[in-house]
Amino acid sequence: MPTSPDALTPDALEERIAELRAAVRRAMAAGDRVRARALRAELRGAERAWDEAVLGDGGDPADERPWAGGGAERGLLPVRDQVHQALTLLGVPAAPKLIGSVYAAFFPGEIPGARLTSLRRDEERSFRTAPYARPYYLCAGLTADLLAAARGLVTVSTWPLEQRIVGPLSPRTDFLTAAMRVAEHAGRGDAASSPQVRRLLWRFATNIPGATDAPATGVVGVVDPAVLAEAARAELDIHQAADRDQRRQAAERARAQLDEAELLFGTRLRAMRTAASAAGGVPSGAPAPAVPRRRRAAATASRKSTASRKSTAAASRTKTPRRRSSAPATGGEAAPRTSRRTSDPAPPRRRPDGASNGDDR
Amino acid sequence: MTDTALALDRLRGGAPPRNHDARTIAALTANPGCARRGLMDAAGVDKDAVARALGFPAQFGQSQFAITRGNAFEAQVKADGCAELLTLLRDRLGLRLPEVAYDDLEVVGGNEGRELRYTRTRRLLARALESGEGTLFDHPLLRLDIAGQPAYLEPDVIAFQLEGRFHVIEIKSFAVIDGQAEPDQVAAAARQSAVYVLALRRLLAELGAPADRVSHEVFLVCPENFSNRPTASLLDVRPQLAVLERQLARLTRVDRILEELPDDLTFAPGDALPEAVRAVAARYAPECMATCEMAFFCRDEARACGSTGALGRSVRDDLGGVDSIGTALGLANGTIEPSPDLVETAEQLRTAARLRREALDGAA
Ligand code: SF4
Repeated sequence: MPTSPDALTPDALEERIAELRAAVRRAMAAGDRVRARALRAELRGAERAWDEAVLGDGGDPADERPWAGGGAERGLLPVRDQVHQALTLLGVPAAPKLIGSVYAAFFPGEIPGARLTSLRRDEERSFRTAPYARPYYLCAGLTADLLAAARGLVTVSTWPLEQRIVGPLSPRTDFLTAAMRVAEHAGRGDAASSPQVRRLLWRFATNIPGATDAPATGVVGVVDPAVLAEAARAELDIHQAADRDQRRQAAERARAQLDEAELLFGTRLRAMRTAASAAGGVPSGAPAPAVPRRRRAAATASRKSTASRKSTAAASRTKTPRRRSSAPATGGEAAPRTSRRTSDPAPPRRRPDGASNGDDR
Repeated sequence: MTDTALALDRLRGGAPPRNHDARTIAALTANPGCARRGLMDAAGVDKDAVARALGFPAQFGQSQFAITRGNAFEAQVKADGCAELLTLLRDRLGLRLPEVAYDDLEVVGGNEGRELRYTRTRRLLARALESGEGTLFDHPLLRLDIAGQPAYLEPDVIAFQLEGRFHVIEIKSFAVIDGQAEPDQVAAAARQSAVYVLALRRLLAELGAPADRVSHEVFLVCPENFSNRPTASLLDVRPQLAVLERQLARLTRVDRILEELPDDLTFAPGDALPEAVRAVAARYAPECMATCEMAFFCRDEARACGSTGALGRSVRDDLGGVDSIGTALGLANGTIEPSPDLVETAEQLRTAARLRREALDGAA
């Protein structure tokens, strides 16, 4: 790489990423595969640097885990399955950082942190290309008020929609729920003795009242999983009823208002821009022909009724991934697609491709 | 749109306006007499881009390292539903356990524009005033009248409601060691926070709430003792608020500056740019180097025309009314007859020149 992307600002990196994408496209158009491959490697480097600068995941987590050094300890699973496992353990919408710590603590190997960003994009692309072709998708949390993708959170498509909604109280209830589930998991067997698990428990416990009390272990700085679970449950009781109400109401609204892709990935705006750049030939972008929805059988149990209701309501709407051949020259500040949407959020920092929709920071 | 707003749009030459942040406003009030900066900021002109186009790129700003570190620390404090922040607020301010609501006011933005984000901020804060609903409001978009023009403020802070009273939470990455932090950094943080406190007060005032619904105490969160563990202290920003309000009141009104200028003036890039910038009076002082993107251009201009301001604000003030170095020298050696209002200054200059001559002669 000519310049070390690590030294650049996120803004500069975004510019660089955009340049590289264009360069890859040009190389592909010219049939220069060697150059395209080199450029793509550089692009990945820039994306990694962006992840680190913006997500603050910083560095290679392997540095802290000498035991993970060997190739054998690297997870043998594809990243999406690793993420799925960690999320299933947690049972709540979670940020990449937490997902990574949970996986490292309880599963063999670790999730290469920087891959999470591109993963979300791939999931959505895959869904829009061939809906429900996979048994599950890693998707977005939806904000309770605007039903847009919540920033920085990953969820699983097979969860009940309520679980994927993020209301004002949800960040806290989800944190407490995650603490309970992690504590329960750690309480089984001798998992709690690993340093990763202890660190994870400590991270939860220091921010929950009473969770560091009277460690049964007798060691200062070591959290008793049972005490942690108990403390988390006690605080959860305070917020849970109100949070559930808000989530339920939002979920009802979402079912009435959103189409299937939106239910998973949030109301979109910049999706159009993404599509435009993919159509322009981003090599990793699978060409997305109009594929009729099929294999809905794999859809989530919780949404089946919705899905069939939608299919008639939406019959006249095109289900082709929306794309535009002419993204606005300024970089795709497009008008809302329908008047129904009140808003589409955007993060202050986003990749120039706009693909992240802000939810994978 | 008002005439002034139209004129400001034209000045920007079609580019989207830049949002203010506390840093820019604190800097603006550092040189309230400068019409050039006042006008460019009011229009939301990208001064950095203009300075580059003029061939005088600015050479200041936070180091990338500091920014990255700051972002990482802020992300950490806000991670997992603001877990660390809630712990601090519970420990230090006695925040009650049920108060955990978090509203992200940043995500409405971007595509929807500032008006929408501002409206949403306003709506949620109005609701909070009425019903007490809501605890943490992350990245509210605020507005402050600057020189008679509304300026949007992009605060990197959280507004926090405790028993009907709002506080500004500022997360900074400079370390607090044994309860002490670098005074310059604390002072800068206080100056910036004061801008947010004021803007929040103005917003609540519009919503019919008294100023004291926004506390003058800012909740400052910093890393403790070289660790990444956050600690918090309350920062009383009343002195900074007083200075800020005074300076804002002193800013020349933008519409008055505009009156003096040609109707077709614009800061859009092009051959006419240097002319356009020069058309607006500046008031260069060496302090500009630390606060204004235009500094290299203005310094060059001030030196070229021999402005006394280039020698520093105290020199300019001492020379009361003598704007150019050439005039000052002329008065000192008697080649220029002082006008009645400059007689006294001229007298002092001649005395100073005589003393200097004597000192040099004595040394020789
Ligand atoms: S650098 Fe120029 S424009 Fe900026 S405040 Fe100083 S005199 Fe005004």
